[in-house]
Amino acid sequence: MAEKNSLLKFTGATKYVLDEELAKIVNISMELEMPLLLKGEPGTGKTMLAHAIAEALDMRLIVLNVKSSMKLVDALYQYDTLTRLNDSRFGDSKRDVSNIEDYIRMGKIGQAFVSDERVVLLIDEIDKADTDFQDDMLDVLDQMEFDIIEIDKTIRAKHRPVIIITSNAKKDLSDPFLGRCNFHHIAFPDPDMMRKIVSVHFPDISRDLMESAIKTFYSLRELRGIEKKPATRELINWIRALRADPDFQVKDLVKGEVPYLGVLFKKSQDYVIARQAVSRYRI
Amino acid sequence: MFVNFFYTLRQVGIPVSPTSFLTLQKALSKGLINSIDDFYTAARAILVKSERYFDLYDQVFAHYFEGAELKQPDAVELTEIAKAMLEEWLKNPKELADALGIDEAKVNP
Repeated sequence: MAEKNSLLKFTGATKYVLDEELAKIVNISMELEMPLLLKGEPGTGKTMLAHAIAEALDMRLIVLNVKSSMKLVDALYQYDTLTRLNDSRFGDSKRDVSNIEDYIRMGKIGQAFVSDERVVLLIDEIDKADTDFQDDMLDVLDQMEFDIIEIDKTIRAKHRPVIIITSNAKKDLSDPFLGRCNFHHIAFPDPDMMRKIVSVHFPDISRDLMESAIKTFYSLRELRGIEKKPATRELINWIRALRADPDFQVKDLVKGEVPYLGVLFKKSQDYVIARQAVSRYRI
Repeated sequence: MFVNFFYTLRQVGIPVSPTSFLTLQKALSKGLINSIDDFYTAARAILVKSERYFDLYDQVFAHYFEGAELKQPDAVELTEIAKAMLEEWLKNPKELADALGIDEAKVNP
């Protein structure tokens, strides 16, 4: 119950605006000890959620950034043969060369298992890895243990970590994988939610700036032919840029000028389309 | 229990696995679900694994708990479904080519 309270408390306290639905899902997943898989447009705060949970529950956050070439064992542990060879050649370290265990380094999942306290384990962008990696990883997370082959030792998790997995849906995840997770899709925030998010990031923002920035932002998202629509992250950065510019005035936005368009549109084609639209319609 | 709810979900084509249904039972018995809103959220997170099915889930939920009529998909939805299926097939041109028994090069535009 303490967990629930702290989760609810942090809604307003930190830089993450949590909707009630997601809070419920997070709590249920923690109770059921199941990983929570988050999907959603890039820049809608999937990764931020893990940070927010760690902060609110006062737990350490361990981030595993998945890369396409990654092997599962890299995430578990590494046997540092090179250092061992070096030590055996020069023998000037305190490590015991005949003891292989001295040369085993824990990977991110390994660290989460051996930690003395319960941690939040964020597995970021799981869809980059191949299916084998995904399935094998969930096996490890299911069993909460893995073997270190070199020293024939089983590492068992001291505390089951809170596991958050994010996916940008570049590739579909396999059915067995999905079967072992709870799922939530973070919908793009509506303007009301967006006002809350903006005011959490900029508590002293003026009403005029917020209203016109959000209005412009949503109409820019409506443009046709845009490949990567600007998301929450872009809006926050854009408002930061606007506020940092001493020459900027809110009435420019109302007039239809959009400075710093490059902050919102990061692909050059998108930028060109947006630039044209802005000069044509004066949105 | 909500066994019928489970079967209705499957009937409309949402791939709900028995394992996840058992997980939902576990959540219920642990007392994690205390209102219909909780049930809606929890059951969706546990049973439905893709946002593609959220709409269908909403319909089944309204049908089961509020007696709303479970309507047949209309023309617009059918187009959507067809589009989704087509996209699914086009992900793997080779499989499609094999299934049709033609050369893969012909399938690729």
